[in-house]
Amino acid sequence: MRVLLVEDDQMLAQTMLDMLREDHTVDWLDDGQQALGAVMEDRFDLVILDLTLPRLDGLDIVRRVRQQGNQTPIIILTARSDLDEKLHGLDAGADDYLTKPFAMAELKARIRAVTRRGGFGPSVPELQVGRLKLNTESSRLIVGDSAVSLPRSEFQILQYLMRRPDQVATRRQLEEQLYGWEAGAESNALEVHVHHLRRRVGKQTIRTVRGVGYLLDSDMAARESTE
Amino acid sequence: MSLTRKLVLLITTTVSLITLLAAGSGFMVSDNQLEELFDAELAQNTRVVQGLMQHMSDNHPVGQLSETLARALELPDSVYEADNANDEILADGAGHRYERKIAFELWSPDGEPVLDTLGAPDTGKLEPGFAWQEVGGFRWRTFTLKDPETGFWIRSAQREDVRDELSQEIALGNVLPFLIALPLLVLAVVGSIQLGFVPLRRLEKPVRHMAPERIHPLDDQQAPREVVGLVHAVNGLLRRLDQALERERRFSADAAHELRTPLTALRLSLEKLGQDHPGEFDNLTAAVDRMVHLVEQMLLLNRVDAGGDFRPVPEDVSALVEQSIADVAPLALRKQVEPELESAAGLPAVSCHSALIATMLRSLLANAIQYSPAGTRITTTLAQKEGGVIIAICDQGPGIPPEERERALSRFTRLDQRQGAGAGLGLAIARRIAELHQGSLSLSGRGDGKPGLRVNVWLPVRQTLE
Repeated sequence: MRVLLVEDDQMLAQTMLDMLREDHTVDWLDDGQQALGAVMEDRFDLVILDLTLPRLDGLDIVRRVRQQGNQTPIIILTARSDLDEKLHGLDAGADDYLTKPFAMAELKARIRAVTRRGGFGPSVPELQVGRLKLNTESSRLIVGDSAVSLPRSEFQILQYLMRRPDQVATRRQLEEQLYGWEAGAESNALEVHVHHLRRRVGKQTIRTVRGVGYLLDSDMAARESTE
Repeated sequence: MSLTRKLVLLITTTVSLITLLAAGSGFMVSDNQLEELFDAELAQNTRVVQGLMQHMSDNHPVGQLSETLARALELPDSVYEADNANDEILADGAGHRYERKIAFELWSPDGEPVLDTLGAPDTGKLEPGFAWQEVGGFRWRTFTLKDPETGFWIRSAQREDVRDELSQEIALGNVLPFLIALPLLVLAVVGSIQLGFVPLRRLEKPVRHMAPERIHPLDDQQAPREVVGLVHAVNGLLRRLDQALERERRFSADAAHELRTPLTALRLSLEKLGQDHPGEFDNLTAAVDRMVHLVEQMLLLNRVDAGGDFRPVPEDVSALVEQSIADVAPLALRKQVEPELESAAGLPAVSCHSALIATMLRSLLANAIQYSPAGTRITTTLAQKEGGVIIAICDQGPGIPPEERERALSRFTRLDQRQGAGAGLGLAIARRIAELHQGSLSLSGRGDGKPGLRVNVWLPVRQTLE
């Protein structure tokens, strides 16, 4: 994949280049005006863009690129962590946003997420966490060597959890997945679905954070057998 | 000393002094004039007797004259009665109470006393004009003249205490109304001054409630002319203060940028080195992470202190708490610490800055996780209390002894230097954020006798603006 890195801090840019070049073909620019020209030529699959740049501000670059109808995925890097700036960046048309300092693993994960959305990466609509494989088109769940077709509610819950392994999905978020914003169905409906799911994927694989929500434990997903 | 008290004292003292002075000098003048008046009256009385005597001596012998005069001057018994003491003019026009204290004396040309209603001892010598005489324990004012035609001596006398009594009554009559009016005057002065100071109090209110993050100039249209200068000076100060705070905010943002970029480079370089030489740079990476954390916390504290554009809006606190617990839960579960939430139903929306409250909650939860041993719980409870919402985060860690709790809330305090990698700013930042919302943060024990720390955050539903 061809990546353009726009970063005016030379030391940081050099380090990032070294690491990104392990996986991608990376070019580097340190000037806003030049960066705008390069992105417009539409020869890159992804742009990693610092916001504070000489000559032309990063946000302006995003705006102008999107005005021209150019849909190259853009990840913004910024040293400012105010929420407002983050929203401005996303409003302007950036695909994702990363605050300095960050770990390379995180940047790489974001790159994967953004490019998958844009049509790169694996085209198979399959989620995998440990021994669990979920086909998002057929709602089929494969655990180890047994396969089952999930009912709609269970599928939606599991899909949500598998997209964010080891992160807590709050009851609110899960109910929104199931019922949209008109939440407030029978209060224990979610528990019932989760209870059923646990029988399929293993009791310890879906952990409860009492009063808050549920979490898919990737370690357990890799280990636990459902007997 | 308060301006009100000072003014009341000054005004009432001045008014009292001037009025007393006026009354005093009025008394002096009237006393003098009364003396003159009494003397003139005395002389006139004498002359009346003189005229009477001239007329009568032509037709009557002297003895008959004295009898007639004595009879005319005798007063009815009712004058002496006690219940009449206060009525100066006697009923049925019988006469006047003071009459009794007027006396006449008459001497024949050869010095023989003919009439004596005074009963004075004979002094032997008679001199014309005014004089004082002591009779029966009283001082009398006398006027004596010699009738040139008949050669008779005539003297009329008036008791001094009658004259004094009259003077005093007149003087008291001057002063008394003022003495009655004085307390009323003080009340009126106090009321007027309070009323006059109302505009000042109106000015005071916005200053009292002005938060550093919401500085605005005072309305000089509302200020009385006497303090317009002061209001302008205060507005100048507020402007400079706002500029200073703005510089601080800018510094915070600039410093964030200047520090974060090289730290990112440093961290990424270490990450790369770590890939090539696994395990060798773990300590270094941990040190850099700690520095990153410290810088983040300091910048956050700086931003919270400066206030930024603090515009609270009503938020669902339970959703904020849920999300915050969800955010830190993976960290807790990795340490085998179990977070849980006990939320009450029907909590009111709380006016707050959601990003700051989330920062505060994450900071408190991270703190609890850091000090929690494996296999324990962190229980967060939400409840309604005193016009607000109370969030309590309870861990089963070692807790903080009561005497160290206040210190634990101050900046750069890590009670146990060996534990954790924090900067000692987490609790201070959390408290500052609570205070920014006009709420409070306190530390306590778990309340069930077991070790552990309970952090109580109270946030008011609405903040008083201005």
